[in-house]
Amino acid sequence: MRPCLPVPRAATLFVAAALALLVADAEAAGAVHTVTIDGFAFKPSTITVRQGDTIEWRNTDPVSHTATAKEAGLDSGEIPANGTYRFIARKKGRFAYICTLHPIMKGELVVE
Amino acid sequence: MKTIPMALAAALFAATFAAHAQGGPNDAQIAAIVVTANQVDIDAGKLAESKAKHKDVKDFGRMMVKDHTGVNNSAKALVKKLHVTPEDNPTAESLKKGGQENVAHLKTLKGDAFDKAYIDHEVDYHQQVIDAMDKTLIPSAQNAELKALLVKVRPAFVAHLDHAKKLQAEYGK
Ligand SMILES: [Cu+2]
Repeated sequence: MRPCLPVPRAATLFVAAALALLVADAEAAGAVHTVTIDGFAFKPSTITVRQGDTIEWRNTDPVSHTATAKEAGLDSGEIPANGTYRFIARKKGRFAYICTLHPIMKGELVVE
Repeated sequence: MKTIPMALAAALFAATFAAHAQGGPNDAQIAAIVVTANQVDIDAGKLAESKAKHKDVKDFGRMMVKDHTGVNNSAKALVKKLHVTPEDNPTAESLKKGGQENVAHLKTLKGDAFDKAYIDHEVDYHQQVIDAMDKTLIPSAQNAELKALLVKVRPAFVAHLDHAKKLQAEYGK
């Protein structure tokens, strides 16, 4: 059955490629917003995005921070010094978020 | 009785900073002060990581080690970039001495007594470093990048002070 082999493989490849495109599309569809972590603060402190948009946190501090709001499904884990974390806002609402390592760091994420 | 050496150390610390404020430390001296100030808190944090009784005090110690190591790495990188050789000075020396005394004192304690002494000292220490930054280090820094670094890392000390005060309300004074 050798001649048959290329067919399912090609089909698999095709499906995989289509899926990859879809994923890429979904990500490309939303805008990308940046929040800078600078001097133990989220800047801007409130960020308003549309559902499906991507938010990128860029940590410019020499220490690790997190961006965490469980209700928003946001939990970056530790973002190291000079590291970034990307998150797609899927849930609408107004969410207060914090750095779990330094809870005096507070931000707000608004997803419309 | 435990508070006497601490108060003395605080007074000494304040006095050396005051003495320096007149002429103001130069950038090489500021670099030595910053690196020492971080190292002192790393050393105490390491001890707390292993000796503290309560988990949140241990976690605080671990964070002090992590954060102050990060701050120190950025300070050391800048010093290298600027070709500044940290210059020993009375303030850095008294910081170091105070840190060694604190660690020696903490080593004699355990359990609740350790947690209380460690946290009380962390509150005082971070407050003193913030005061020193505001009154002496930031105003004296000549190099713009060094000044910017001090301004950037100052909030680390503020966040730690806030955290330490919360722990102090539970385990301290
Ligand atoms: Cu943080």
